[in-house]
Amino acid sequence: MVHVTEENVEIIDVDLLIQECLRASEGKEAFAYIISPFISDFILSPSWLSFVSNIIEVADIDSYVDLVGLLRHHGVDVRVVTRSPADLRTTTISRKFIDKQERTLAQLAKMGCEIRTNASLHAKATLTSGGVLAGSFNLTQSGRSLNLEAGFYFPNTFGIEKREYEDKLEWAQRLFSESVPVNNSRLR
Amino acid sequence: MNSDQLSEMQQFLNELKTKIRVDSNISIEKVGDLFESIRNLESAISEYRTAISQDVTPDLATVERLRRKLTLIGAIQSIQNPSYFDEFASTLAEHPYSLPKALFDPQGREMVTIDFPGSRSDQQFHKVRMDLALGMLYPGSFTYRYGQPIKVETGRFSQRFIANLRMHTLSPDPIFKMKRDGRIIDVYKPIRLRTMQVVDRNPFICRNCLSISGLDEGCSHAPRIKQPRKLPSSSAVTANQELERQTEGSVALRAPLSTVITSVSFLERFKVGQAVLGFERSAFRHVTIVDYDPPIGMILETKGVAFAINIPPGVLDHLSNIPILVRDVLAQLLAHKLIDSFSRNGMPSYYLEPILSGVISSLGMGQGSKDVTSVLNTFSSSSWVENAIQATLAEGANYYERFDVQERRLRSLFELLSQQSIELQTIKNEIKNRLLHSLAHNLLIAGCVTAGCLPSDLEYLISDNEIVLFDSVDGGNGSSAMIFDFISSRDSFSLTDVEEPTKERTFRPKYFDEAFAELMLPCQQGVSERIFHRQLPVPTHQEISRRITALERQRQAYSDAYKQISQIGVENCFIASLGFHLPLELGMDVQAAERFKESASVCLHGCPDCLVLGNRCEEGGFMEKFSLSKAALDEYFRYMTKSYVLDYRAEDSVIDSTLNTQGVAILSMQLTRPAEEGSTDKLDARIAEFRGRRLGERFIKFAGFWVDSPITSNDVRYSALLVLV
Repeated sequence: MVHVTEENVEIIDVDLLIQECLRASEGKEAFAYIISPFISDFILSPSWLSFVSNIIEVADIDSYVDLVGLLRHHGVDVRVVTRSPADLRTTTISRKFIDKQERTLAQLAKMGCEIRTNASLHAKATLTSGGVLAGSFNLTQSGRSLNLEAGFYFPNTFGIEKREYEDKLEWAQRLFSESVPVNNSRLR
Repeated sequence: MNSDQLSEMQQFLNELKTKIRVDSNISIEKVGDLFESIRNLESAISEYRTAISQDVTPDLATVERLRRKLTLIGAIQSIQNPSYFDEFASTLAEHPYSLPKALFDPQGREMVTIDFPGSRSDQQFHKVRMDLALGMLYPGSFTYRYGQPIKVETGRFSQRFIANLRMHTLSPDPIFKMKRDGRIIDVYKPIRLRTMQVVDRNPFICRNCLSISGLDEGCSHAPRIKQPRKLPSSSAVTANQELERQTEGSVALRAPLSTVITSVSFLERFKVGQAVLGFERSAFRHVTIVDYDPPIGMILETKGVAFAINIPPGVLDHLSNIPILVRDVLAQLLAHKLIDSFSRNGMPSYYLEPILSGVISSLGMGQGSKDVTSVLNTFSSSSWVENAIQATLAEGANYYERFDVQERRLRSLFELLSQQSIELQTIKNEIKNRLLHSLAHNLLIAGCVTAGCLPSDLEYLISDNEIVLFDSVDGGNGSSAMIFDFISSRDSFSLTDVEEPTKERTFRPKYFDEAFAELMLPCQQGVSERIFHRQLPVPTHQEISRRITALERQRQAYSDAYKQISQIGVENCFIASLGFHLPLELGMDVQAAERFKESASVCLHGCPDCLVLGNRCEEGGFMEKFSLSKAALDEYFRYMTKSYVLDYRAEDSVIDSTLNTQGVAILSMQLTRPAEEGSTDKLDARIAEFRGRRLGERFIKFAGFWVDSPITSNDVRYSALLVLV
């Protein structure tokens, strides 16, 4: 297990997603669960994105949404669980932020991601076939690089780590199936 | 046609319309078509009537010129080779307009006069920018720029393939001197370039020397070998010479690239002499190279980026111990030496392959068992000359439509060649040249990816341990500055390097070092070909399996040629594809020989997917394949990064230690035979274990993954790059 803070969360997040692209390029089953109550696109540092390969091309990526676009380009199934923008509008959360969340979800939906909402969602996690990253960090600029955050990363390898990974994967699958499919046409 | 005739025609159309309306045998679709045609005719009548009333007469000369242009464009399009179009497009731009030769068009300061004595217009002299003249109006080229097709004069060159430029006005003194093949040559500035009108658009061209009959060139070859052809395509052969520089700032790259490039400097001011040494002309699927006497050129003040290259003696020792590589580099060296002496023997360049092939056959270089030392011993004894003559003549007679090189000339050429001293050290130096030239191509391609420019917007200049990329226009075009700005240096890599998102994001170019690093990885096509021909376990990655499927399809069509490649080994394909010495030895017929040659053109020393630049290569498109070596470059990169390479099963502490000391670790895994389903899983799991772990003040990041299959070993490897960020 790796202890995760705001310092390494995005390295792990980006790595997990790029490796999933490689996996898809091999024709293997590839997927990503992206779970976060709050989601908005944000710029990724070149340090996180730096990747050289003669198998896949990681290019023209500036932001998290671009990276999800790369996953979709390689045919990776991307499943997103978040809070519904409509529900958020009944809270005191800034309208500007909710608009941003809605825009990001609309972009993800357009790319072919399956988006579901869950009104009670508080958990934050990214799961791929390579591992699970979970903790306090929302999928936003602040959550991924500005706030002090804490969490963990379990690789899908052997022994305890694999068992932990499988538990979390089962949880994510259950959470996704229990959440409500979003009506894409209602996203602006 | 007068106005009465127009009225008569309109009357006829009116009657025709009435007939169509009442004829029930004509379908409704047909009626629509006919009325559409009648409307077009009526519109033409009306416009013609207006023109007559205004006393406008058609400019038939212009119409004819446009018609010719359209015919030419149509003919070029029918060739279905888009890259070919560029060679002609610039020649169609009419004075005073010009098609930019590059994406960024220079403003240019120096001018040259184009002297067109037979011009139909009053103007005999036209001023054009120097860079434009050297790029598209060099002696030997054709242009439609001044209305009618014209040729920039060269005089007769068929004897020695040297064009004496005495008919042009050049500067009285050389503007700079240039080092070329160990000689110092003077380069003159053109002041006035003489041209002549080309009356026949399909002139007779000599199949032997590609000279054009009826113009200033001519030749004394037999009339029966001259055939009418469209005007041939050509490109200038250029070279650069540094004159002055002013450096401003430098950066160091991160590992593993820091092992190859020790520093990168921005050249705020870079003065360079650009010479046009001659031109390449193509016709009848042949190429001839004609040298100028003297070369012409100009001085450019621009900006550039200098890359200090690290080629330690150890790597050259290592590379010169790889027999396949040494043999192929020797063949490339012989090609250069032969082409240098062709002009002295009055031989066109396209004879290079059959003649080189004769030498290869006579020296026994095509046989895998003969080591380089014994090849060099044979070479220095001159005993090979007679066999080479016979092999060349036999090959020429069997596989070339026209091969009329006399035995006497071949002997003189081979004797001249045998007098040259070639030792192991010579080959070692040549390997270094191949590395530098291949690196220069990689840098240029990476530069274009980063700056979003065309290869013609940048030039390269190679010196002993340095490669300079510079903007190809006077004053610079910003490409070099952008490349330098987009080098993610050792210092700029930090975890807090995040910007606030903006509403409108600007295009982010690929970082130069990322683009360059990818070009340093093995070529996908080359790897696929080696895996395919050696029947190695096939990685499941789509890009590799797609290429292997394409090769499989081709094998079904060319089964004999592919069987032959399996027998000789894919590593021997470069040497086997030079000329037809192997088909001759095996008694193949012409069709089988050509199929073999085509199939054997695999990526060992470069292909359009990796290094090949065509006529942007400093050596020209014709000699490019004798000037590069992707195989040497791959082996060089493996050697330079070997201290980072660890077996993927290495202890965690060993991997940590390598990361701590070097900042980089490359986990390597050999693909087992047969390829197991999920063969990368073990490596994936290893990467997963290290991902995001803290080491000191930094974290481990997965930063690369590639597939390799070296020419020197029969295996397939995966490599995963871990770095500290």
